[in-house]
Amino acid sequence: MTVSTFISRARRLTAAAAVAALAVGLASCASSDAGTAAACDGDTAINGIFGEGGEAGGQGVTVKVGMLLAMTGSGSSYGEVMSHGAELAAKQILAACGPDFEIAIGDHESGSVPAAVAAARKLISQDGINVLQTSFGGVSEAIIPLVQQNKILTLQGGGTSPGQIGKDYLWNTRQLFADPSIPGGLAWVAQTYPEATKMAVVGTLENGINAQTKLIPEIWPEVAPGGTVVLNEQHEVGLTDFGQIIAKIQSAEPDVIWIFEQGGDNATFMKALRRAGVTAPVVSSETGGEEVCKLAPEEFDTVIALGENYDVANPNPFNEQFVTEYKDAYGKNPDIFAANYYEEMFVFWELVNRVIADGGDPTSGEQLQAALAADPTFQSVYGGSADEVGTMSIDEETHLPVKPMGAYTIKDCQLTQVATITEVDEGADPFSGVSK
Amino acid sequence: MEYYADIAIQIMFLMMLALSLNLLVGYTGETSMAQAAFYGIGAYTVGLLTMPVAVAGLEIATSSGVAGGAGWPFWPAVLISILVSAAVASAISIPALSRVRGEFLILMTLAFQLVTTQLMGSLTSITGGTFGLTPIPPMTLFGQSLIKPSQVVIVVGIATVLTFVFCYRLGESPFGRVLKGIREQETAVRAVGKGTVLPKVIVFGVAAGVAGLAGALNASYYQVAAPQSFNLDVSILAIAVVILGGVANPVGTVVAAILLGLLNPVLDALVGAEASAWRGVIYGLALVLVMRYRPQGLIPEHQGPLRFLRRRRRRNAAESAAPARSERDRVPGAAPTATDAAASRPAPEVVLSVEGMSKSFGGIKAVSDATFDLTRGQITALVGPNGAGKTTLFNLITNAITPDQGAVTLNGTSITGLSISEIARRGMARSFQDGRLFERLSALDNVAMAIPDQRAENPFILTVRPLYVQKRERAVRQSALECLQLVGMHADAETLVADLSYGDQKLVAIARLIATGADVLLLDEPTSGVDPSAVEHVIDVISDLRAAGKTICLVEHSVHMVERLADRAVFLDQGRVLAMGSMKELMARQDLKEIYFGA
Amino acid sequence: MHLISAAGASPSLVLQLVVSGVVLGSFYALLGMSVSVIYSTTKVFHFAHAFVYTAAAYVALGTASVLGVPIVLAIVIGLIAAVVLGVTIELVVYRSMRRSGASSLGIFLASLGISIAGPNLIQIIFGPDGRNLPVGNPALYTVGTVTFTTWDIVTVVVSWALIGGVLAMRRSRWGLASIAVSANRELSAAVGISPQKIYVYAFAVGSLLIGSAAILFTLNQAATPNMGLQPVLFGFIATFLAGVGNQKTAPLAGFVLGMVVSLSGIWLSQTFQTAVIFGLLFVALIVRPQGIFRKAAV
Repeated sequence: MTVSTFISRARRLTAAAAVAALAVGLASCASSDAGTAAACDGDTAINGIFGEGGEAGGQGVTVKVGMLLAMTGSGSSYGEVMSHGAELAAKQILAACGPDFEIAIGDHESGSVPAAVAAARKLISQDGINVLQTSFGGVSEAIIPLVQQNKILTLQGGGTSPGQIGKDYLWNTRQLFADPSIPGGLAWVAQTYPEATKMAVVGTLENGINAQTKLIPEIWPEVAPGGTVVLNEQHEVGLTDFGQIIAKIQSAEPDVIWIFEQGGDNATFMKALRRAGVTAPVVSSETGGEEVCKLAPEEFDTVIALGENYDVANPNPFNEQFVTEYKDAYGKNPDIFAANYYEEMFVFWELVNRVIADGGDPTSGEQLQAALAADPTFQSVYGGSADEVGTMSIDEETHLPVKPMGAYTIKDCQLTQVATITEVDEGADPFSGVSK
Repeated sequence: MEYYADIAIQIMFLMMLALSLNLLVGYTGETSMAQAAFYGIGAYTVGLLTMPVAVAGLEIATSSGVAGGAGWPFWPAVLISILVSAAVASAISIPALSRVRGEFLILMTLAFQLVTTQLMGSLTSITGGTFGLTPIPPMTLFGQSLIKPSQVVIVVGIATVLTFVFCYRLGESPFGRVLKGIREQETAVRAVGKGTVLPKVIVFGVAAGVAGLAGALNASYYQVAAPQSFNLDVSILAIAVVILGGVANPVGTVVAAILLGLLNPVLDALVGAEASAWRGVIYGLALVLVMRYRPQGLIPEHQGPLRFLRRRRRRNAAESAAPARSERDRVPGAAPTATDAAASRPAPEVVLSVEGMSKSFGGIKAVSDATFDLTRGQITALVGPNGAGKTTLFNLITNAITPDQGAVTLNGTSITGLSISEIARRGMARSFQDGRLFERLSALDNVAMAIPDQRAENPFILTVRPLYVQKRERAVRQSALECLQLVGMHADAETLVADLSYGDQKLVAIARLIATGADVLLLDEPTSGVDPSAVEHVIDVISDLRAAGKTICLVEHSVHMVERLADRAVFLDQGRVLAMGSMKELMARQDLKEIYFGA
Repeated sequence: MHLISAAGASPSLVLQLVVSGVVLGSFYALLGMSVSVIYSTTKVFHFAHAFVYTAAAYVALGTASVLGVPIVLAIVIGLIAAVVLGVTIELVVYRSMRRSGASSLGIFLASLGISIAGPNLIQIIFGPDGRNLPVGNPALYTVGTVTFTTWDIVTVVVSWALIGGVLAMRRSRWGLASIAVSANRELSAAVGISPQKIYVYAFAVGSLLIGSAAILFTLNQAATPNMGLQPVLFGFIATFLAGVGNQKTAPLAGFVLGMVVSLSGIWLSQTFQTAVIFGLLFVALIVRPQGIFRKAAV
């Protein structure tokens, strides 16, 4: 912990204590710095990409955006970057003479279902949100009945799980965790480590369970001659003592280890593994989470991240201005989560414009979803080139996007792409999913 | 509007959970750390029962791979949820409650809570794992699905009111009196002839059933059941509500649930993201401060808005009671004076015989081969110096301590090895040197506890035949009042025993003993600590009891008392019976006198 | 699900798990000793021990990484903080409650309150994320197929040294006095031993031990605000399995518990481990409430 975070914590503590001391009655006075009808000139970098805004661009319309994030608990670093991405986008859109996206954040306490449902209810009934950005797998599955009953168009950019596929009112801008990258990823591992036959799989019961228990055991023997899964261990989230699992790894002597860990578990596991002297290469299906990496930077230098990722260096002009402005605002590079929640705001903007063009009500979740389903393709910070903004499209049936995937080496918690992975159809040759 | 309805619903769930826990912590004095586990069992049961049946090709797409449910309608599923929670709780509580209590029970319920939470997360094909069981269909009423909080709040509100009434009535019923007795003095409940394991098992089951109801409603409202909703934190929160509100006071529980429940939205507004941590700090500290400075809670037992109900009862009791102690009633059947009674006494008949009773503690013989009889209508005193084994002998006769050897026969039937409560039911009851009264109960309730054959104490009958219970309870209270009248304590019938003087407490203890209706009464130092004016009174009561044909055995220190009261004395020293005879005869023997007075 | 682990019992696995079991067992033995010292003497169900544990780790890493104090000094400060906190809880909360005639249940509930408030306060100050003690990576030793690190050796040595120290102290004046108090409080007061002093002594020793355990833990793992609950539970399990009041066998029970946890990995998936261990505790308490290492009470 650095001195500055300690001080800021301490300051928040005293501030909060002071507020608490100031009697409960003040609660109602909590003011939000409401969007001052800021003068916009329609001449920002964003206007260059999305048009000049104005009435057709939703100027004067207020859209309330809810965000259901991990603001406390072990995943609070995720919540922080997600909210940063969305807040930056809302500021840019307002400045570009677009609608006023007012953001209200609800805390699911890093995956607590009761907290999530309560927070979502509050966002819907108290804050009166029109659209929602959600995160994490379990909590997002839990709020599906709620968003459907209240017709809230919801975008998921950071925790797509099988239970969120093809659900009315819920559209994913992140791929299913792990699964799509597994066939191509295994093929890449087989190519990169031609001697490897024995694979160990370690993960939690939360995410990627299908990849752990079905996909890898099926596909690994196909792509690696003589390949076997010698160990397949699942454990609780937040495990602190990996001693036993590591003893099993040592005894199984795998050539490659594939892990499905999230948050702090990543760091705990990697530290324990390397300290026990296990040197086998580790492939991780978690590609985000720079903060977590910092808990064990040395150990992460030996990890290969494999899956969907966001490329900071992508020269696509939409992305370029995003990275610049994000760095200006928050002092560091955006990661995949910042990028996804950033560009989801532009999806909302595009939908608002479409509904306005049709003479509809841009705050109606029903009409926004209809506009989305009619043409689920949007401008994106992913893909594209130096002269062309990339696009992202979401499948109408599954509500899943197609996003670039790759294999990445890690140095000082920064990813460098070493291969491109694409999703392959079931039964197709896994090697067709790899390109260098 | 919907937002406030939602907050109200959350608070009411907490209220129901805490009300159910109060039956254990407040009334029975047993701390369970697993109340959230039973809450969860209700939730998962309703989920699995009401989720649609899996149809091939139309599987519910969840991450967990739960295939589907039983497709039941809502209300039957709720009923089953209540029963399942109650059954699981009763099943695990039978071994737990019959063997252990206090800290052991805390640790065991803690273990059960942690096991349950982990299984909810790990048995993914049944429970949906850590993601939870979802989507659970919403609750229905008259064929209408209730989705909006403003609709659900009505159903949950009715359920909460019913829970409150149920818990309040149960607590104030004869069954509740038994529970409070267990809380105050478990051995004393057994000593007046009542089993204590069954009531504890029942209340464990009932409390879990109420928690299960809350869980079932919770799952149908949130349409999801996930392990975090039912973990240790939730159990601890429920404990905090009960303690802060005031144990054994449902009104306090309701107030505390509202206060703690409102902390969430208020802190959300004040500190935002750190609300949950601040809430932990606040209720944790509140728990410490309350236990330190006001352990009875915000609204203590016997106080609060509902106390007018009790006051009315008190007035009724006072009206039917005579004012002064001196005007005590005579024991029915007692002849006017002791001498008259002695003249008409029938031939001696052995009621209780003790044979070869022995007990050693770590090599020291506390009682060794003690043999003596009690004769009907006589007062037998056990005398001897301190540490002679008199009280131990009482404990051995009533099997409060298991003897190494020896047999006890009551009215010709062996009662060796029977439990103290069974012995009391067969007609031999004992008092305790230290009283062992139920301190936070009224004198009347103390005595009422001992009245035998109370079918009104059966919570099942209480539920199906409330009017019968009321009638029966009136009769019980009348008998109890009569017993108090015998010792002249009827004016203090509604006073808490803790507020009585020591001497008065002793009198209540004797009234309680009389109320058992037992023929053989074992009195352990009935006059020690009683002020001299009351001693005469106690002596009168005891001689009246003899005159009424009771067989009495007493442990007594005062030679004067024994000489006046006892027909016969058994002299004990170092666990051995040295001599028997009238007190005069015994005191005439120099050797015994020396032992007795330590000369 | 995956109740049964597919690992199989190869000799190298068993050996490695035995070594892990020795390390884990020594750690649990220390926890068991710590809880037992307090519980057997004072009969306080000291749930707030979890907060003392957490506080020791956070004070150490706070002074080391925020104030830049050398690590050894920071650890000493952490241990002092643990002792001060434990004794303060006894003096300010428990003692005054005992004086006002609180029941043992009441004292437990106050303790529970501290164990909730404390870690949440730490979370407000330090944040919920894991924090590492700034110590370097340990050296790795390999014997045959079995590996262990410097920290493993330190854990075993420090744990048993502390346990040995406490057991040796039983022969001292303080030790004998605390045995007397735990056996019969009133009688020892009558012969001139002050139970109050002995209680403070028990809390000081118990807190020192739990603080040491917290430091040993943070050498290897990140500290989190809720880190204290599990070790204290294991401490209580060891204490109760050993038989309440049986200080000498509490470390033994802790050691056996650690070995069982570790070796259960041969057959059992981690996701069921807590359930199995607490299930066993549940059964053990029912079958042998007097403790597994103890003959039936007289």
